Amino acid sequence: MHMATISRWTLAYFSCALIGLLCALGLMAAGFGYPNDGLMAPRTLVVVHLVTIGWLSLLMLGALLQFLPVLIGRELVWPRLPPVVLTLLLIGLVLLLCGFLALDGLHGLSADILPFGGLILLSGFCLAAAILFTTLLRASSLPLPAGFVVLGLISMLVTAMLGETLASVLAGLVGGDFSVALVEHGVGLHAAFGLGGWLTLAAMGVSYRLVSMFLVAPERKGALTALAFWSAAVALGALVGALFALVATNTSWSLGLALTGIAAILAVGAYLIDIAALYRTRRRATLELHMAGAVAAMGMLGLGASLLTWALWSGIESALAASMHVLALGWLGGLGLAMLYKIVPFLTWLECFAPLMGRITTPRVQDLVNEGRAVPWFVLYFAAELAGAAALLLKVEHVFQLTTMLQLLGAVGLVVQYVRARRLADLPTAWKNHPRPRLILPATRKRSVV
Amino acid sequence: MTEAFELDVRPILRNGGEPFGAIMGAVNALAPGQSLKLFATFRPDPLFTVMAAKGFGYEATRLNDGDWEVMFVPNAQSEGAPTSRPEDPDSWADPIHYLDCTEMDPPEPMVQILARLESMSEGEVMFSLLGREPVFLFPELQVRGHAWAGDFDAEGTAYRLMVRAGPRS
Repeated sequence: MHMATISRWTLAYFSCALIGLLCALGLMAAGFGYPNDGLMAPRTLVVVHLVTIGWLSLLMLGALLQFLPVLIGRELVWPRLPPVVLTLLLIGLVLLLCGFLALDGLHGLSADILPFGGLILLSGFCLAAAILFTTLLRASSLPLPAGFVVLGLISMLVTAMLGETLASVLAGLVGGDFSVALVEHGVGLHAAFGLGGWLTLAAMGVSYRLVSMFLVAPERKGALTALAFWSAAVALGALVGALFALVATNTSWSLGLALTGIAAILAVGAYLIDIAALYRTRRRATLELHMAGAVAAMGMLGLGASLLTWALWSGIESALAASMHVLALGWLGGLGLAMLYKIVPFLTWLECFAPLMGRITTPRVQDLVNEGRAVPWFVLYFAAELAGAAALLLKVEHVFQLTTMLQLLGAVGLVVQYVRARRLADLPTAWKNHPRPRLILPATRKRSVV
Repeated sequence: MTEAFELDVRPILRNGGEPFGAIMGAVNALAPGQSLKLFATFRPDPLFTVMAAKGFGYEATRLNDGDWEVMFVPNAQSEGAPTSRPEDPDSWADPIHYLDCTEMDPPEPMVQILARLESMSEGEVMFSLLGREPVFLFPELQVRGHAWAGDFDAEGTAYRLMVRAGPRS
């Protein structure tokens, strides 16, 4: 009797991730990092890693620890380890950010903590990968969405290792031609593995399953899904080739990078068309808000990928910055916020009402939220994303700060909605006095022995 | 032990009738552990297989007049408590509850299945058909002490789920 269980730590991951997002947006709104600082300036790196590790990686790992077992119908192995992973990642991230601030000249801090923080992050990511890979090995068969997750996890490890090497170079522990080549060409690879390989491929895999589950649509198993997967695998393979070339010869392998680009465009295109078909074959007639939000996020993926292609073609720095912003905060961040709007109420509903189901009338999942109240915040978030990307492209710093403030406001509004769902604040009056769950860490339920 | 139930199907056979229905009626009316003493005009070999499947052994004796007396005795393990064991789906009774959840939006199947289970007594089995594997239902079934077995059909489009109700809590 195999089954997926509710991971107790998911909400802790999500809470830390949301704090990471709010901090990053707050810093950007205050003018910290790009465009006031350079694209590779330490202050920009603080914001970038706050977004990619603090917000997106924690969000994705929290989601995978919850939904990978659902994807393959097996229980998560070593259920005591997720809090250890979370602690390692948080400590590692704080040390890494302090290391960047030290590079920026902050008194009392040494840049030596940069590789130290990177090492702790690497150990956290390795532990997470060990849990998820071991769980995957127990699956009787791997559906394609799980294949995306496998590619994503491999990329996550490569990103962390490459990041640790870069941190050692920045801290002055590694020198010579290799360090020069790494700073020159390695940063792009680090970003491609992180944002493309790890976060985007994992998001594609998870979204395939979640979208078909939430829309009540048949799962995609056709040629387009296979095309998206194999193109992604080719893109990743070429990227690994480029990394080996860099390590072996200290040079950039442009043919490999071009292959990565073409295969990645093919993968993104096939994925978007495939997901559009998934929406068309859905049985649930009305689109719930989280699924409409996901459409906006996927539009951002198309936009961000096009912008990135143009930026790499033309070499325009502001276009590169705008494309990264759209991909990180529009596509991945937007998809995350949209999915949280369903996942948080769903987990809360399971926690509070599954024990009563069949015994008394229980509310529906959608009774836990008030979509009308959340719509303006989603609109604000995505509109501010578009405006912010345009401001970056046109290099108008003050407008960018203003749009980021609005985006922060949108994100805060959505966090309030998640908290309201957790507190059962939007439930109809019939359940007004229902005991509220704990905000972050669900209580354990005793299982009877069968 | 209860006295054996006697059934004489010789009159039916002599009139050219088919006694199988009468025999099954008698078998179903037996008390737990009760034996069946059957009188027939011939040695009813086909019946032995049927009765073995129902958990009965037999002892056939030829009577002086050429007729046969067969004693069907329930096997030891089938005496007393029901044979259905939660951990062994092969031992479960045939399902008497059916639920088609293929047209329901999740999580409605979970709600419907749990609601139906509330009305079932221990050992009763429900068969339900779902559009997808109800992964979030399983932990709840386990907590409530029900047992289940399920798989996808050959096309992989419908998930077939058997649930054996546990003790009422």
